[in-house]
Amino acid sequence: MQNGFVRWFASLLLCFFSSAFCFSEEDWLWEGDTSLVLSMDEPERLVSMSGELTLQVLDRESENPELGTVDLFVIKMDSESFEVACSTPVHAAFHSPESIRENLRCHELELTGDFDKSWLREHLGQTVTLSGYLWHAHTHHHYTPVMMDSDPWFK
Amino acid sequence: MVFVKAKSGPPNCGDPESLFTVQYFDEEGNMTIRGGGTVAWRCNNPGNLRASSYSKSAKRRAIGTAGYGENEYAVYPDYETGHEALVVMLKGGIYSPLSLREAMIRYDKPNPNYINIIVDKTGLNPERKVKSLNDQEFKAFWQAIETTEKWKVGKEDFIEKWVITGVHMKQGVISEYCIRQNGNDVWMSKQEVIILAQEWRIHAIVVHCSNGTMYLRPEYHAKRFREMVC
Repeated sequence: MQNGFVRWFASLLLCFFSSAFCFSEEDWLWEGDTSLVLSMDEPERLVSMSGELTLQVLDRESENPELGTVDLFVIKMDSESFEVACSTPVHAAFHSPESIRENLRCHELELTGDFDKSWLREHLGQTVTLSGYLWHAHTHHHYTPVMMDSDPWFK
Repeated sequence: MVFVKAKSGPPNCGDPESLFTVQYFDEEGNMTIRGGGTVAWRCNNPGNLRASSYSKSAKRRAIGTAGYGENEYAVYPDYETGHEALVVMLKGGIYSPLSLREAMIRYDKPNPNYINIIVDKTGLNPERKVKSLNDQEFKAFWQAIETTEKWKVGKEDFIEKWVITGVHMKQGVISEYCIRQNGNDVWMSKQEVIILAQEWRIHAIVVHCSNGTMYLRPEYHAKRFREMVC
């Protein structure tokens, strides 16, 4: 009887601690509109995005301008590409279509990864079309709500 | 003190826009303003997570967002909740299959040295997968990220939301209110109290009449002013 109680109490404790302090791989998902979350067993989608290519020079850390600046290549998306950005499911999803649209920089697409920097510099100010894989901003190091990388999230 | 709501406040006098303050509200309506320090501290957000569907979700228990322009951050009620948002993200299905090197490239893509900082701080092999770390190694990993993201305490100001404890009436109309400020009762004119209520400093609601005049009414479920006549 006593052993049974101890076992029951131990399993209760285990349940409590496992739910309170361990997080499963799915715990990061939010409630509500998860239409942009691509299932892990599906391959990421290669998309082509068009618009004017610009170079933005930002402080590396907004609160510490003395740490220098960083160059970012950004596409000002045309309306068709903007709709692609707002509707393409991705593995690194942190937004819903609505939360992308309400961001002040929603029409801009930061380029990340191994895009050819010299080619990008040569085409500044021009309308370009580039292919890559979309992912969503989630830390303060990310400039636009949707970004495009030369590689998929999982290589 | 449990914070239930938060929002951006203006920067302190002379500070740039990026040094926005954060206003926290507790259940009593009192306000705590955090200024200075780092964004991580001001927002209780040690991972510096942007405002997103993830960071603002009910599961992550954010109590608001704060920032300037398009730079919006999730605000959490305390360090522990903000820390949990970072840890859940790192343990989640999108970060855990990555190597530490890949993870840090995604976390801070303009800074290729981030992984070197993490390796220096933890001694971990950058090619190891996040999900391969044991509890101790994982702790060293998130600690290194939080240190790199910088948690610097600034200045905190507490502003109590005052309560109306009495009223004076003249010809059937309230002319003065007694306000309990930090334990002391102070009589103020109706106009002064309306201004304070507009600034969220008093537990009362400002009602705007169609003729342009204003008057106060008690908050929902609070005692009626006419029952407080002195």
